[in-house]
This record gives sequence, C-alpha cells and structure tokens, in this order.
Amino acid sequence: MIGRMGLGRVITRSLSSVEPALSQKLTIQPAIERSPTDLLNALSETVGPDTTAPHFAYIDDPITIPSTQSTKKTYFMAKEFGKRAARELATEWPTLFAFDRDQPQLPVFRPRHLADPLQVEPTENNLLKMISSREVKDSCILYERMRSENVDVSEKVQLELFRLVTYYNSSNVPFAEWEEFVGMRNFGEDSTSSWKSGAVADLLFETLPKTDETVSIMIAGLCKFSDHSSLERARELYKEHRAAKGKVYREAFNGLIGASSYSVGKKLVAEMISLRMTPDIFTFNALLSSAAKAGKFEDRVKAFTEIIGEMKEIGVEPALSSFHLIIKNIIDFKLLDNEKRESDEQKKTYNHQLTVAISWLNEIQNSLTGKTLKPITSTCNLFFVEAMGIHYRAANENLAENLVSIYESKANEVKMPAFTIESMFYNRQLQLAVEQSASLNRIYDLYTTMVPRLVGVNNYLSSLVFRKLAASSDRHWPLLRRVIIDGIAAGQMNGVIGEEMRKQLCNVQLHTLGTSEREQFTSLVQKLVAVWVEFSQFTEERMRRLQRKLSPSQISECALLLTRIGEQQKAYELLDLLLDETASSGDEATVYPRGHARPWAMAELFEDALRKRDTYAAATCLQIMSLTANRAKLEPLANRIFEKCNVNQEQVRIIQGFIRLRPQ
Amino acid sequence: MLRSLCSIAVRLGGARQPRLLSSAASGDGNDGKGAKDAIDEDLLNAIEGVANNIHPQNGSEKKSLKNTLINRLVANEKASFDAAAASASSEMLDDQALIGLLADVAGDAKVEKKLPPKSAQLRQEKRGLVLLRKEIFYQAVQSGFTTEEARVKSETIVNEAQIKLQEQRKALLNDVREKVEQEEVEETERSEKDQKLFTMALEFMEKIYKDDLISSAVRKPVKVDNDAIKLFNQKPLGIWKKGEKYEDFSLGFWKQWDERAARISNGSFGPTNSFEEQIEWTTKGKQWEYPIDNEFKMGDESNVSFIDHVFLERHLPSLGIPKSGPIAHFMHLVCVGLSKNPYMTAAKKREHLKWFADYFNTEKQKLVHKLHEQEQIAAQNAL
Repeated sequence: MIGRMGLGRVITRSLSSVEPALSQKLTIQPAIERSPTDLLNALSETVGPDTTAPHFAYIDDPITIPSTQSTKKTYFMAKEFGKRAARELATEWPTLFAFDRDQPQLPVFRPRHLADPLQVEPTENNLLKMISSREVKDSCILYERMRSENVDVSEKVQLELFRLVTYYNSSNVPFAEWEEFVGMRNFGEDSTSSWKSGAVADLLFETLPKTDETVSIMIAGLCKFSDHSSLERARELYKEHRAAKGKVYREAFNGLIGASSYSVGKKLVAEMISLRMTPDIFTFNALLSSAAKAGKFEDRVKAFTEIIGEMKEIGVEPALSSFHLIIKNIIDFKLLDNEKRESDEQKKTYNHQLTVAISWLNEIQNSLTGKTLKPITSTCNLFFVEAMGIHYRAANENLAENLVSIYESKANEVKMPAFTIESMFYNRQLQLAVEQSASLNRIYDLYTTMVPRLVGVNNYLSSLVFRKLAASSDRHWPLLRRVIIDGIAAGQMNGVIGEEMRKQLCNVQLHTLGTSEREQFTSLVQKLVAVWVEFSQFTEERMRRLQRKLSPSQISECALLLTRIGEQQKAYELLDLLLDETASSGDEATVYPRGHARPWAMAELFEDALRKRDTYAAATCLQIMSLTANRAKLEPLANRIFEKCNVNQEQVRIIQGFIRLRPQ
Repeated sequence: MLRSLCSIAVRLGGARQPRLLSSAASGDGNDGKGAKDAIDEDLLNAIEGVANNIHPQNGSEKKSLKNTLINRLVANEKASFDAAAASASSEMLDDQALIGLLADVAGDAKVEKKLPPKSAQLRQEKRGLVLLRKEIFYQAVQSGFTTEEARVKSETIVNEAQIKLQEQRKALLNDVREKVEQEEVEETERSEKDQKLFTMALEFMEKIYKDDLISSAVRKPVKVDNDAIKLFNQKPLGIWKKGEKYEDFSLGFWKQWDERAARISNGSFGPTNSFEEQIEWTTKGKQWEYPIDNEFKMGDESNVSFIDHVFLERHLPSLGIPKSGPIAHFMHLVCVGLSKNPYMTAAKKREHLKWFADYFNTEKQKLVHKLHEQEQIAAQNAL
C-alpha cells in the first residue's frame, strides 16, 4: 500500500512538472500470465545443478553419500523402494491417516488402490478407466471377465483396448516407460518380449472388423515385438490387406521397413509413395536400421548418405536417434574387437572406417551446435554415449570436449540416465583426457570435478591415474591423496589398488611436501594402516568372511610408512607380528603364513634404526631379514649394528650366535 | 534398460573391449543351411513327421510349416546359446575381481618358491577352455560345418589349446624353479624378480581372458579427414519429391505414445536441484503453487468475494431490522462479529442474520421497544 502511494506521489509529481500538452497517458500493463512453475523454472535455470556436490538424489548425511556405481544404485533404489513402501502403506491402511486434517486436503497424499479387475463391476466405463490409466493386464482380465459373463463390449471400447494391448504386447507398461519411479525405469529389467501369440491382442484382432486401422495397428505391433514368426505374420497381413485394396498406415510401414533389408525397405517406401503417404522421422529411422544391415561398409555409407540427403530434401530434420543409428553401425562390427584385428589389412580397414566415423561425427556435431535438441524418440540420448565411444576409440579429445559442451548446453533437452549411461559417457571422456594429458594439474582438475559426482570411482580409472602418476616425472600430492581417499570410500583398499596405494605412498618424498601436506600424509597413513589392521582382526566366526589378513610385504610397507611419519612404536608392533608364529597360524591368525617382507622396505627400516641407534629396532629388522637372507648377507649387517648401536658384550654374543645359526 | 546398458558398455569397451562370444555371428544366425545343422537329426525327422501328419496332401503348406518349425527351433537354440554364452562371458568379466585378488595374493605370497595359487589358476584355465570350446563349436556351425564335425573340431582345437596351456604351465614352473635356484645366489634382487614373476602370472592369465589392459602410453589421435566422404550434402534417394503433396496418414495414438515414451526415456534421473524437485511436487499437486496464496484450493469459497463476508449491514434493511434503537445497535454488533469470523461461509453468515431477523419479529420489536422505554424512564427516575 505504501509502495502504491509512493508511486502515486511520484507520478503526480512528474505529471505536474510536464507541460499539459506533452503529458502522456499512463497505462498500466496487464500482468503477464505465469504458470505455477514458471518462477521455479526461472530459478532452476539460473542456479542449475550444484557441480561441487554429489548428485541431488544423494545429498544427505555425508557418510552415506555413495561414490561407486553399485553403491549409487543401491542407495537410489533403497530410497525409491522406501517411497513405494510408504505409499503402499498409505494405500493399504488409509484409516491410519484419517486424523490428518490437512487443509486443503491434497488427494496425492491419499493414494488409493487400483480397481481390482476381478472385483470391479464389469462395465464398459470401468474398462475404459483401466485403459486410460494404461493398466494393460488388468484391462485384459476385465475384458475376458466381461466376455465370460456375456457383458457386451462395444466396438469402440474394443478398439481402444486393442490399441493398448497391441502397443504394449498384452503386457504391462515396460519399466523403461515408468514415469513415476525413475530408479525402476533405469535399473529395472524387462524380459525381452517377442509377440505374445494367442493373447488378448490376437483375440481382439479376430473379433474386430479388418479395417485399415486395425490391420495397421496389428502389423505395427507385430513388428515392434518381432521375432521370426511374428514378422512373417506381419508381412502376410500386409500382403493380404494390400491385395484386398486396403490402405496401410504409416506406422505399419515403419515397422515393416525397420525389420526388412535395405532393398526391401526401399520397395516398401515406393509403396508408400504410391499411396501418396508422407514419411516422418520414424520412417527414416526405420530406413536407417534397414540400411545398417548391409554387410559391406561402402554399401552402408552410400545408404546412410542417401537417406540423410533425402531427409534434407524434403525438410525432415534428422533426430539424434538417426545419428545414433548411423554411428553405431558405421564401423564393421567384427572390426570393433581389438583381438579380431589381426592382419594389417584389417587394421588399415578399421582405421579408414574410424576416420570416416570421426569425420561424420565432426559434421554432425557442427550441425548440432547451438541448436535446440529435443527428445524425438526414446533412443535419442544414446547418441551421446555412442559418439563418445567413437571419440575414445579415435583418441580425439577435441571432438570429445565439443560433444560434452553440446550435451551440457542449455539448448539440449535430451538427457542420458545419470547413473548408468551418462556415467559411462563421462567416464570415457575422463579416461581419454587422463590418457592424453601430460599435465598432472589438468588431470587433478578434471578428476576432482567429475569423480565421484559424474563418474563412479572404479578400479580401472584409479589404476589409470596411478599409472599416470608413476609415469610422470612430477609429483602431485593432492591428486594422489584424492585418488586414495576415493579408493578408501569405494572399498578398493583390499585389492590390487590397495597395494598400488602403498607403493605410491612409499614413493612420496616427504621433504617435497609442505607442512599441511605432511599433516595430510600423516593422517592418511594412520587411517590406512588402522583400516588394514582392523580388517585383519576380523577373526570371529561370523566376521571371518570380511577378514583380510595382513601379508608380510604389506606389513613391511606399512611399517616403513609408519616410521616415516614418526610412529616407530606402531611400526615395530606390526613388524613383531612377522616374528610371532601364533599371529600367522590357527583360527586367530591375522597374518598370511606365506610371503616375505619387502627387502627394500626392510633395508630402509634397518638404516633408520641404525641412525637412531635403536638396538631393539635394528635387531628386529635383522631377524626379519634373516628369514630370507643367508649368513653371508647378514654378517655385515650385524657388524653395522655393533658399530652404530650401543650394544654390550652379552648382546654381541647373542647376535653373533644368531647369525652363526643361519644357513650358509 | 540394463541389458541395453550392458550392450553399450560392451561396444564402448574400446581397446579393452570384452568379447561377447556369440555376438559376431548373431547377424547371420538365420542362415538356412547353418540353421539346419544346428538342430539334431532326430528333431529334423520329427518335424518332417509332424508336417506330414498335418498336411499330408498339400506340399507347399507342409513346406511352410516345416520351415516355421525349424526356424522356431533354431531361434530357441540360438537364444539358449546366447544366454549361456553371455552369462559365461559376464562371469569372465566379473572375474576381473578374481584377477585382482590373485594378483594381490601372488604379489604377497612366496612366489619365489611356489606358483601363484594353483587351484585358482586351474579354475581360470578350465573356464577359459570351456568358453573356447563353445566359441569354436558355434563358429564352426555358423561357417557351415555339421554339428558332429563342429563338435570334433572344437574338441581337437580345445585339446591342443589344453596341451599348450599345460606346456606353458610347465614352462612357467620350470622357470620358477630356475629362478628359485638363482635367487638363492642373488637374494638381493629378490624384489625385482618378484615383480617379474607377478607380471608373468598376470600376462599368463590375460592370455586366457583376452582382456587387454590399456597401456599407459598415449595413443595417437585419429583426426578428421576433410577428404573423406561427407555425410551431409550427398545425393538424396530421390523417392519423395519436393513440392508434391502427400498425405499424413498416421495412427495418431501410436505417434503420441511413442512421443510419451521418448519424453520419459530421455528424462534422466529426476530432479537435479531443489527447484526442480519443487517443480515436480507442484506438478504432482504435492506443493502449494507459486505465487503463494493462502486461498489455495479453497473450493467453492474461492468464488465468494470478501465484500460478501465483511459488509453484512447492508442486508439488515431488507430483513426488516429497525434502523435505530437497541435492536439496530445489537445487530450492528452481530454484523461486526460475523464480519471478523474467517471460519464461516458468507452464506452461513447470511443465515445467521436471517435467524436474528426472524427472532426480532414485530412483536419482539415492540416488546424490546417497550422494555427499552421502561428502562430509560427508570434510569431518569434514578437520577
């Protein structure tokens, strides 16, 4: 109100200062109509996803944030199943929530059971309701019940049901088309379905009159869920209907073309022309699928270019799925396998085909840049991952980056499923970048921005980075630390990667690290050793499956690392395990009975003990080394103990006696 | 979804692509000759018998029935083989973990004196050989051999491979022994040999797995070739003519449902920030719509103006309430009270007024008037 008065005052003032002749009439613009989500959309577009945090679905207690693909799946599905369980509870026992007096009452929080097809009144209305909510199996049951109870179903309703059952092959809507539960959509697996013969769709087809529409729907359904016999049947139907001067709809043609060879596909297209029928993107995709069946590379290239040319000619914009079909099938399938490219000839052919693929992708990406990309078919999102696969094969980092920028641009509305296909896409890009980049700083930047948000931590990636670190002449502590920390979170500590971690940590030159970095090194080593030791101590019956005994080499490396961070006592407690027979035998064993301490690690530990003039430590090292060394090797070491350490005569005698008893 | 994911993963495998054993041959799986060879002789005879029984006279029908049956059987055979081969290969892939484990143990164990865990290695070999046998059998059938020939062929090749493997193992064993002897002399180089043997064991396993690791070497990029055949701007098929009129003859629902599927499939994993989550809640009707309005979903009341709720005195004259006097005063208070009540509908408020109007009928008005006058007189007298 005050604002309005203020505005009024300003207006009066400005009007009074202007000459009456020049005064303009003020008109208040009508309010722009906004939908309830416009404001939120604007905010969301401005803010975008947080690239410094895990995916939004995982923002929760930090300890539960998953970092590998499998934990991401487990976490997401657990959340989703929880939601589904809650909904089921509210549906099953609505009385439990009867005292919720929310105002206004929102029906979405009062879920209801779907009508049971065996209980519900067998009326057309109920059947139509089930059809409109896409309850395919329930509609089939109700329809069969109505038939058995001699309830008439009008032709119109039968046609509606026929559409539904043919499109979904008399089965429920597949997981891939689940709108509500995204986890099931992306992780759920449908059994591969071929046409269910003798099901409600067939029954309805026999019942309904054979019109252009019913025959076309049937053909399209038979081709969508094709196996050998259903395809034969579709072709028969087509021939019969055409012979009876019937007309077939475009969708039926699309199905038939997609299932045929390219030459047959072209004949079918000619039939479409004779019926004066316009094609759509699905027709061209079907033609591309049929062209992809050509065995020879040259034939495929010719067919693909012809089809794309035709699309341009009549102004049909190729969808991303069209490009997906092209790049997926451009290279001979048998050449894709590294193992099968044995002869030079094959390698040359492969390189040629890869070059063509890359050149075409370059053209495609240029054509896509700056364009609004909308989902046209369900496979549109696969283009990106397929294209990234080709870039990876060709090791072409520039094009890969360009592809990522197209994918991430605001104009792109086609999204790959984040934790499955998209993760693969970014994983390939990251691997390519790590492989091609010589700068550890760049690798660090890329790694930290992408792992584990976009790419799950995986053994392959970790070992790639470790290899890169080992091969590089530079050292990069932040990168090493990050990969190790990710490895700990991803449970890599007990495999080969765990060994690699120790190796890399042993290679770290402490004097090159700054003060805070040294502190990080210390805490990291402490953490790692504590975890390894804890894993070795799962000796109880019920925990034994988790146990990972310490190996002698592991103990020696851990001891070395502990000594470097100044934890001598812990180091020698660990080393003592090697000399304690009870530690490696029996049910309570925590150490592998086989294997040896690493000689280089023991040598360094021994030198360190001498430097500190620690007789006990030096003697422990000597005893451990004696497990693998002979007398000749041990004698000089013993002499060095006598020189450096403050040993009394008794101790000298004991050590000499010990050495004498070693084998020659 | 997961299946398509796996297939993409396999195709994307690039340099370390794991091989699906049957995939190479899947394209020409329906080849007639090969197909017949994939089925047992007895089965073929049985099919012949069935076809004869059903269509004893009609030759062409008999033939088509036979063909259908054979094709079905071949498809079944192929499907079961594919399933078996796929599971075996996935098992092989899963064994990456096993490789890791083995390598770990091998690295730690006393490799100088013993081979890496023999039982595990034997198991790997065995698995590799079983797969090899299957592969060769399938390839042989695909390339036109009969089943019997294929079986014999696969057996011979696998046996040869087995012998080779054994030789390799023996060689490895001998190698190891030599090394042990050598090591006793040169113990200081132990760690180096450790490494060598470890690598050797890994390489040995890799030969069976055919799963090559990427070398850390940087590959040379394949660049765009400007002279290569272009995808765009090529000669069109020339079927549809520009400018000619064609009819859009489409099953509307099929297209709509395809579009629905496309929208859902390309929608990733739900919201990526809290605004998107709120958008989802709003569209599902779980959240109040923006801009926030406390009259959200009020029902019928949303069509009632606040005037009807607040300005109630305007109804009084039509209800026959006197304009002055104690009743007027009382009714004024009633109207003020009702106008401030947010829990009552306007109609209910009017009903209240009506009730009072009925109550204060002419008799009551007279009575009140009389009582009021008496009251006033009494008050004056009291002064």
